[in-house]
Amino acid sequence: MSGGRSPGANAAPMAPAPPVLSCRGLTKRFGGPEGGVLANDGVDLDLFAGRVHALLGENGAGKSTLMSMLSGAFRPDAGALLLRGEPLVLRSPAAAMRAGIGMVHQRFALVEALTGAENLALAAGGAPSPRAAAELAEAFGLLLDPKRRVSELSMGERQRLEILKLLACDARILILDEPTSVLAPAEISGLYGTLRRLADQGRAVVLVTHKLPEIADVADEVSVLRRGRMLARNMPRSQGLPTGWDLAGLSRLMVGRELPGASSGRQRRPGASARETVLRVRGLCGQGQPPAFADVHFEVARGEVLAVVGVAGNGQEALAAVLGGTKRPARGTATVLGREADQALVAYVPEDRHGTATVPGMTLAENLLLSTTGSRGAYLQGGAGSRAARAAIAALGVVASGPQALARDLSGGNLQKFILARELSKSAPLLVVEQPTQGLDVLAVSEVHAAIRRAAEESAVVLVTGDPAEALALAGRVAVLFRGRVAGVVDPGEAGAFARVGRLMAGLSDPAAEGPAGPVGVPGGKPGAGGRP
Amino acid sequence: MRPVRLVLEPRQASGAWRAAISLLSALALAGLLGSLVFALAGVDVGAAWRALAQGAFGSSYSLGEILVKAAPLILTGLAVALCCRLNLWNVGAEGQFVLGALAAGYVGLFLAPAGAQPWPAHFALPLALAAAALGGGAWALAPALLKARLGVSEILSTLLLNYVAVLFMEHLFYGPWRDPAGQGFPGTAELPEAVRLPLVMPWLPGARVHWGLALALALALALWFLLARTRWGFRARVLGQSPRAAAYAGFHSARITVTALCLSGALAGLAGAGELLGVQHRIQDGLASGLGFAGIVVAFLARLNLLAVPLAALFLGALLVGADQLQTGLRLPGAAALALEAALLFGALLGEFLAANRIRLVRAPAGEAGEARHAS
Amino acid sequence: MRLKRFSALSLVLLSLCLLAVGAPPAQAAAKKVRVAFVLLESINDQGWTTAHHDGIEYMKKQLGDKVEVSFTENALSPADAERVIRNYARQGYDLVFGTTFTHMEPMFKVAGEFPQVKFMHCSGFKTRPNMGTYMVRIEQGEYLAGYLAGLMGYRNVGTVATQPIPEVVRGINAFTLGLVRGLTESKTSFDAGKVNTIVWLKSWRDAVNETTLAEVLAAKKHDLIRQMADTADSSKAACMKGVAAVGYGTDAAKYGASCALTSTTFVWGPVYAGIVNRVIAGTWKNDELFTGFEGGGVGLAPFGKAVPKAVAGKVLALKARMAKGEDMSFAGPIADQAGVLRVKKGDKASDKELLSMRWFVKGVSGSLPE
Repeated sequence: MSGGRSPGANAAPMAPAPPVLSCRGLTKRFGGPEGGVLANDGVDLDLFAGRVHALLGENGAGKSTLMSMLSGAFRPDAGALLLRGEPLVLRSPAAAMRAGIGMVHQRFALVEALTGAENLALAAGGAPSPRAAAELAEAFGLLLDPKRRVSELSMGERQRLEILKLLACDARILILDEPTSVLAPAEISGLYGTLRRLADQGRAVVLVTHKLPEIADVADEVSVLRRGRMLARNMPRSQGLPTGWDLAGLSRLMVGRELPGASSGRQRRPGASARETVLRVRGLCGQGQPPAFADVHFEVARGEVLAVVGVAGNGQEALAAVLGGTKRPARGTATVLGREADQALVAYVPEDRHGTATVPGMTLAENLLLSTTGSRGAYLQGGAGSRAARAAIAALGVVASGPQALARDLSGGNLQKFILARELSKSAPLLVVEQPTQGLDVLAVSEVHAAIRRAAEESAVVLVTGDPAEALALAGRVAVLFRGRVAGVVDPGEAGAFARVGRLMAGLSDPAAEGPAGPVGVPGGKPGAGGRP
Repeated sequence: MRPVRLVLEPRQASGAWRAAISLLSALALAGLLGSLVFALAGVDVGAAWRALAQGAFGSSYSLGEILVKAAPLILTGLAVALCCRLNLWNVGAEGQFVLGALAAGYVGLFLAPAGAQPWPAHFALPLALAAAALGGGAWALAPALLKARLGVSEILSTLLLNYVAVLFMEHLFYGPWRDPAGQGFPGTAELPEAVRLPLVMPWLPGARVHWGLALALALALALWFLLARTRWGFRARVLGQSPRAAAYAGFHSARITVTALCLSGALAGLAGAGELLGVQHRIQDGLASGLGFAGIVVAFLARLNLLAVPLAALFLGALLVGADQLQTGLRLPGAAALALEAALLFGALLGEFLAANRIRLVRAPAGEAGEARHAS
Repeated sequence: MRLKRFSALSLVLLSLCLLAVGAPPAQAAAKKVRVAFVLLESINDQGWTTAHHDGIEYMKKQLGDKVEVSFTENALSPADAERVIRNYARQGYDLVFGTTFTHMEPMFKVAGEFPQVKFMHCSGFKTRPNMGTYMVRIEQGEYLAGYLAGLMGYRNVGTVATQPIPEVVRGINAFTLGLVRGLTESKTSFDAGKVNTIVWLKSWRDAVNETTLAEVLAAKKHDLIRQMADTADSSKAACMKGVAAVGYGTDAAKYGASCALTSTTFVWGPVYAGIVNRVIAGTWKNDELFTGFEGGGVGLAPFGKAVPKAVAGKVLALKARMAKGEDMSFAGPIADQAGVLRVKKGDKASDKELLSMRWFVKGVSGSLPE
């Protein structure tokens, strides 16, 4: 798919061509002028035609904010954008699209009931034409049947359709936000082949990610954001290194320390003797054919955090739903303190904050009752709900006008804190938290992490996340799910833990005897395992 | 020339303010569309509105007739609104209305007069009403189960059952239930006094307002209480606004769906009973004349607010009663009333849209237009 | 909170509406007789209501400025009809017509409340001192239409019947009796037990099923389609299939069925003019009017091109005899489907029998649905 071309060949441009898009001193602050969060602080960046640019940073580093400014969703508080050297002011994503800048968001913007061709027509105008759409897809080497409905497409196909939408609008600068989080490893190499080709055709491609090892093959240059600041800008490949990159150095830049979670409040594995086992999972299998997950065994004790990590689509969503009590397993048992799990025994923070964990159109008081209302009594205890909501707001410092505020009016971080506070107020022996910091700003991430650590003092905690850094930072043990099975359990304290987790997530074999914390990534000697076809 | 374009954006407004915007724009739009209908029909627009108001509010008799019309509309409006609050579409209120009337009619025609001694009113009437609620609810049960168990669209199933219900009713009053003294004409015998809903003002000849109106108002209040203040109502509202949240909270979504649709059917069935036991007293052609479908207009005019449903029903009732005067006074065709009802529904839907979104005229700024050119 | 605003707003609107209601228009001082009609459907329904509207127009033309006429369409539901009838009575109309069976109960009720107002109800059987009834002997036209078809040799008629009520039953019977007479006179051989096959529409109008049933009948080799629905669709379907047709109620040829031999028509004009004239003259009584060709209440539409002159002559001759008062449409001997003699030779079916008829004569194939 990627042709015979070596990825490194494009890294050094022939002549110093001017950047197609530049940022100068971009600054964006959320919340009030004092207080609030400085999401981007004087960020500079240059994007060149013909190059794949990887923008690295942890969750909450400000990557999404920066890309939102490039794609017209936010307007910077200060700083300027230059398109081919000329000042550019973007008032909307549509304006950005007219200027040739398009973005594929983590959550796809597709109409599921329509076909691919119809979605294309919606984006680019004109009448839906499956033939024209098929020709377009072929021209860019994107495998897609435009006559099928989006609801029937796999995540990878949907992503290709999103990219095709941008190409149909003649985008010259393509931004992809965490594009690999929804893909199976085999699809990832396909995506990278596509990106390579698009860059070779003279487009600028930006890949926004926090998954360091993944970029090694595809990126021509790398920038690193941390806490809203650009720490490294437009770093080229260094030909001397086996993967082309000093991955350890980049990792240090991203997280600000040698190994994520080595300091701070990461859990030590508790002494097995003292702790009472809370959650006992035996031979658990998910629904579906093939099952979303299978043969999962583990135990979690009071005072322990177990992280379950995996690339989206490898079964951890279904596992979280079963542990949280909203789905039934096909086989196996999950018992809490020896009993079958129910709402009183399990506090569950699902991934979807708006619509699953809360009802957006209801007040906080009503939303508080959502998971804490018992089965007793015919009437709604509105007063009790209000009091409890006020307590939850106070407990984690949620910024809200009061118990009568609507859930939809809260920011993502504040809503997440409210949900956590609600679930913690149940004082359940088990807390299941799923993707707790996705999309949150830096400040909210640290507050949510602190709350989870506090919760782990009293309860057993299962943290389900797609972010290995988060897992290693919070958990005492990290179980990696790959294709629905536990591929391995990693102790964050062990040397090279981060690399091992990354490798297990990608489905690569697990050399238990890994050498000391050397540079890691996809080993060059094993291209077949998760690499290109 | 800088291009001007229309921009739609969500409106940030409080609930009360949104309600006001919605209602006012609904009325303004309905007024506008109605005036257009009048103008196209070639009559003086002002005179037409005056005739409408005269017909609706011109006499104590017409005011009473508005109440007569409103009683079933309140109940079918509640039936539709309840389901819509759960994101269900009960377009079968018409059929449930018919089944309710048939069940009440069965009690009145065959149970109450049978036996050695006819049943007294204090026994027969409540039983007839209960039968109507059961009948209407039972007619909604099949679509409810299909929806809850198999995910079959309740829109189609409830709609199709309307036709079945009307055919079934016709079969009964043309056939087995036909009045033996009716000289071969279709229609049942008159119901006995014992099952009739008493008149509110029996001393006034021609004042047809019956106590079914009070029942409808009480049910509006009860239903509001059920949704706003009870645990079941809370679960139903959660399910309506976010099925995923209901699953997360462990609510029995299927059970709630079935209960709500049957409750809705029971309300529509009571509307049919009210019309039969309070006004028509005989099952015959024209018993179901679109009052179930009009419930959709009422529900949306009330913005699905259960306490506003009676007001919306009165409003639509006034429109329908007043429209008589358009025919007699201005010689407008009878279809004018239907056109006005449609204008009202259209206005209500558009009004709700305008309350939720703001339309702005935007002049593309010079810089942006320049960028676009630059990019291309 | 939200509700309060809503109610306040509604009250303001309500009072605005009340303010807008001016004084009622001054009543005309002239001594015109004020006549009102309550109609079943739209006056453009091409059937029952159109026929009544034609009658109203005829009456207006005849009486000119001696009358003031108003009418209300779409009074389908008895509940609505009651309001409309009572409104007319309250507004001081002298004479109110109810034009369909379901208007009987509401009219009977309102007539009790307004003894000074006169009421006339079409096709029912309840009367009061101030409420009479009227109907036309459509079966006379039916008899002639059947006679015409019989003379032309149609011996396997298919009828798209509507609702199983006495009006329709006696129409089918009269048509069949005329058909048998025509077939006998034209010396056509026929199956005495099956010259007219009935299928039921169970509705007064149903465009889809009217067409479907007519097509089914045509496909089953019926040689003439008898339309009985309000609209001409079954006749039109027959024309499309190249089969002859006879219309009902209004002239089917006028609404596109060019192959129609003729149509039996309701002619309400002379009936209405007669009733209103009696009110003007002060001679109105609560009659139960039942008129045929002799009172101009029934008509035959102009014959189609396919009808031979000789046949037309014979039919018109019979029609002339009917216009003079000789009604042979239900003259004995008449046997029913089972062969039981229902009307003896020399007798005629009584009006009471006709108005509640629920049996078919010999020659009809089909039964009353239960």
